[in-house]
Amino acid sequence: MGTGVAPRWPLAGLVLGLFTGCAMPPSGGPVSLPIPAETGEQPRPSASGERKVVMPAAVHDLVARAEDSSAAGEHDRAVAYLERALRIVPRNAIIWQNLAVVRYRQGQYAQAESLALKSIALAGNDAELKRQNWVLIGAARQLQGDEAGARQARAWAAKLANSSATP
Amino acid sequence: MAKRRRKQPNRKQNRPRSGRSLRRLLLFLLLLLIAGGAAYTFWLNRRIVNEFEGKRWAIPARVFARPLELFPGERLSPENFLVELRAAGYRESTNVEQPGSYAHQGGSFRVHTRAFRFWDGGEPARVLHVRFGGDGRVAVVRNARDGTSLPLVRLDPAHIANIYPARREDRILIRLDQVPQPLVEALIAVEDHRFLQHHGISLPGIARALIADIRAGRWVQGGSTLTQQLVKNYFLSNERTLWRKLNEAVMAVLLELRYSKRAILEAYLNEVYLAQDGNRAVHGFGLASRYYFDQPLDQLALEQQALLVGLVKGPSYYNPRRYPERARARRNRVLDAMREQGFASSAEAQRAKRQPLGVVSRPPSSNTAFPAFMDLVKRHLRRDYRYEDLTSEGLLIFTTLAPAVQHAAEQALAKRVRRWLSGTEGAVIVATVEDGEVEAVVGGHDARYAGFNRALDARRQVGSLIKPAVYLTALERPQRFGLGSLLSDTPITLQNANGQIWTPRNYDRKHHGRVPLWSALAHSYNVPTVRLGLEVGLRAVADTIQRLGGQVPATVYPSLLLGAVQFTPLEVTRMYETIASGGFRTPLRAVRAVMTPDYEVLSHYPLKVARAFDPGPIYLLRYGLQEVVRQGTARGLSRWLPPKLYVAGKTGTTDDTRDSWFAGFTGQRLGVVWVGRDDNGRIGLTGASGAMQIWGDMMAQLPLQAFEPNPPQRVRRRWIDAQTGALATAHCEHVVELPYIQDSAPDGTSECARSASEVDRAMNWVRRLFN
Repeated sequence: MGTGVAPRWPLAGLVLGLFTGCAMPPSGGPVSLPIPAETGEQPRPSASGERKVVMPAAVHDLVARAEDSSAAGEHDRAVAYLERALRIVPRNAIIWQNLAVVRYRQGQYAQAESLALKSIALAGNDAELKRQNWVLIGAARQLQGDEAGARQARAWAAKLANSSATP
Repeated sequence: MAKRRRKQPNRKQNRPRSGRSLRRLLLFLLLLLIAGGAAYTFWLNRRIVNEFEGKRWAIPARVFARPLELFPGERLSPENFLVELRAAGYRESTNVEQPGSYAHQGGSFRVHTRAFRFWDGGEPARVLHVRFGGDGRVAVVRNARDGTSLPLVRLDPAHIANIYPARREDRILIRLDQVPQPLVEALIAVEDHRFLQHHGISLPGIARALIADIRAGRWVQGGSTLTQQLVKNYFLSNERTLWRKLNEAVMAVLLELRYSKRAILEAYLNEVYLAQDGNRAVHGFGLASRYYFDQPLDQLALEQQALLVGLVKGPSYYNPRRYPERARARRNRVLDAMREQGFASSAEAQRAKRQPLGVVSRPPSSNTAFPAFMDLVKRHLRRDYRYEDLTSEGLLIFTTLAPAVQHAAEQALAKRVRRWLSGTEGAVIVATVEDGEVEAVVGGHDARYAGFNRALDARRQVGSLIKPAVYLTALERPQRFGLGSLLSDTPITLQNANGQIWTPRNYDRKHHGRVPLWSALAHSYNVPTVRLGLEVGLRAVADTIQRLGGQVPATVYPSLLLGAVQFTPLEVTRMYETIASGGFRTPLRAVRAVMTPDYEVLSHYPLKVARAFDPGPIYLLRYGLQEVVRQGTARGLSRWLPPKLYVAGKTGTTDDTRDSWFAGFTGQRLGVVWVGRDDNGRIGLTGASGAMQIWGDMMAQLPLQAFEPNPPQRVRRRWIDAQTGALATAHCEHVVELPYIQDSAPDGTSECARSASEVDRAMNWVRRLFN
């Protein structure tokens, strides 16, 4: 039921969720990419939370270009920029998620799902990012006809929505 | 009979009218001749036009390494930066005036980059200032002209190979406007000074040639115009007959009627044969410039241009490497001719004549320096491209080769193998951990030798390298096994259906009683591994191997658990890549993209991932593989690597030390090394004393990044009773802290922990009371 509608709303949510979300104040332009820390840089997250390492400006630059390309419908070019960014910061969960979103926009749902799972595996304690990924996975699975999997993903997303309310 | 009867009446009839019919016959023959001549000319015209317009020179695909990305904060040593610059053909020069040059003082570089168009955008030529900090990182990347800092620069990549057809005619295509004016002038002065006036043939030239030929009594002089020479080259015939010369002349005139001088000249400059390099024929001035001077054509000095022009007359006779005096005399004659015809001043010609030949002693190799890597690239491309297209369409191929990593791998392998028994060989593959890009492939200790590629083709027993698959299978069953679960290391004898008996033994020939699972992996004990494998089931282990990316025979035996299965280093890399990347199958890639010469992207091979394992068990396995390095069979790595890098790895040794393996990964890259003999003889090396040494040497040359993955959501650190494997708490006796899957207690909860939790509950009650 509702299969005709389901594909639409998560996409809209994702477009917003991807390029504007993730609790970063927009700087300058109308949209800005969330780029927090270079994850996996420090040996271990301390109890007081992860030490944020400043992301090379190079990565900002590439992700911004990817954003423009994807917005212009040039998804393959966006993928190229994101892959370059990943070569610099291979374990940045947000870039993996961006890649997942671009694949989703291209209709490559299986790859979108895998990339989002990869993003989750690298997301550490970032509950909001994980939630966004589960939303994307839910939508991607739905579109691949995997009803049960989609439901499971949405349940994860809902669970994370509750937990992220308490920091 | 019938013939004769008919002939006789004919003769009778012809005789009286012979005069008239002879004239008629002659007329007919004349008409036939004219018609035939016209038809023949028409045919020649078609032939030459087809050749000229349809001429698509077979241009081999040009293959590039991955470009170096430069940005502040990057982990890169000045030494590796130098390796990258040299691989990309940069030359040291104090003034860095030319693109492709650099100067450096300690950790401060000035680099004049070359403009380069990538498949996803371009980079301009510019002078960079790059400074390295003391911390193994790039501190500053600036535009040296205006001082602006640059967030990200891609250097033009190293050109690592060409893909040639069997008959190797090679050239670098040039446009007329890329050719220096003096070169064109010299060519016209020497080869055909009336080129701009004649119509394809030069009558005075032919007359002179004929006189010379008559004097000599044979064909000695060409007397050919550039146009005639071009025609001659097109049809590749060297016979010196009048007939051929006539054809040549007719076609030259036809060509001139139809095409401009510029078009003909440009074709000539690209077509002319200028050197023989082994089985490769060097055609055109573009490639000749590289071949003789290792420089692009537009950067040649006057005397260098004159030498190239001089070589047109006879590339082998005037070969400047073999006959420098002949070549010098020839060059100087060209310079004289230029002066005589007013293309060069006396002073210029004199100065140029004093210069040395300037030829590089060894031509830039047309054989790739990276045959083993190129082997992988070709196999990859052959899936999508026809061989003819790869060798003729001038495609641009962007690969993942990282010159500094390749260099480190080659050096490490060559250095070690030299010290071992003669006949010992090896192979290395390095790939990036998260995106599966192959950075280096070495197929043998002589990395330049394009023979047997052991990295891709040596299918050998892997020994203990297979064990992670056994332990991963167990760790995927968290209700049955944890890292602290005790395994029995007591003698075991197996018998198969045929009655064959197998008694696995530990490498140290000892039994260790009951050993924790992580320790059995870290020390690579065979007996507990066999027991564990049989407990989880051979089929389950085989299934895990397949999910990791390996192929397993249909029928498996318990000896599989100790690695009685053959894989190539590439296949091993594929499997360990899945472990290193956190349980995601990540296809190894050697090619990023393929582009046409017009910069149109034909294919892009994107990053792909597929989750093959839950992150939890992979994390636990990784912990075990870190213990291998921390205190197990690979603890010797501490010689090269600082502690706290969280390197994970596994050694492998096969029966009688025939194969020595090491597979290990840091935060960035995975390296797999194999050492053995091609005849499968003994080498007397274990995984640790053989392959691991190469791995350590190699990784020590490369930037290292401490990395410990964040534990997945469902993994918690737990105190485990080392004597029982049961859950315990920090204050219990002989406990160790190990990561465990949440809510799993495969070996129960210890007495001590149970009483502790009662105390905890009591404490909580007290706390609540006071809050």
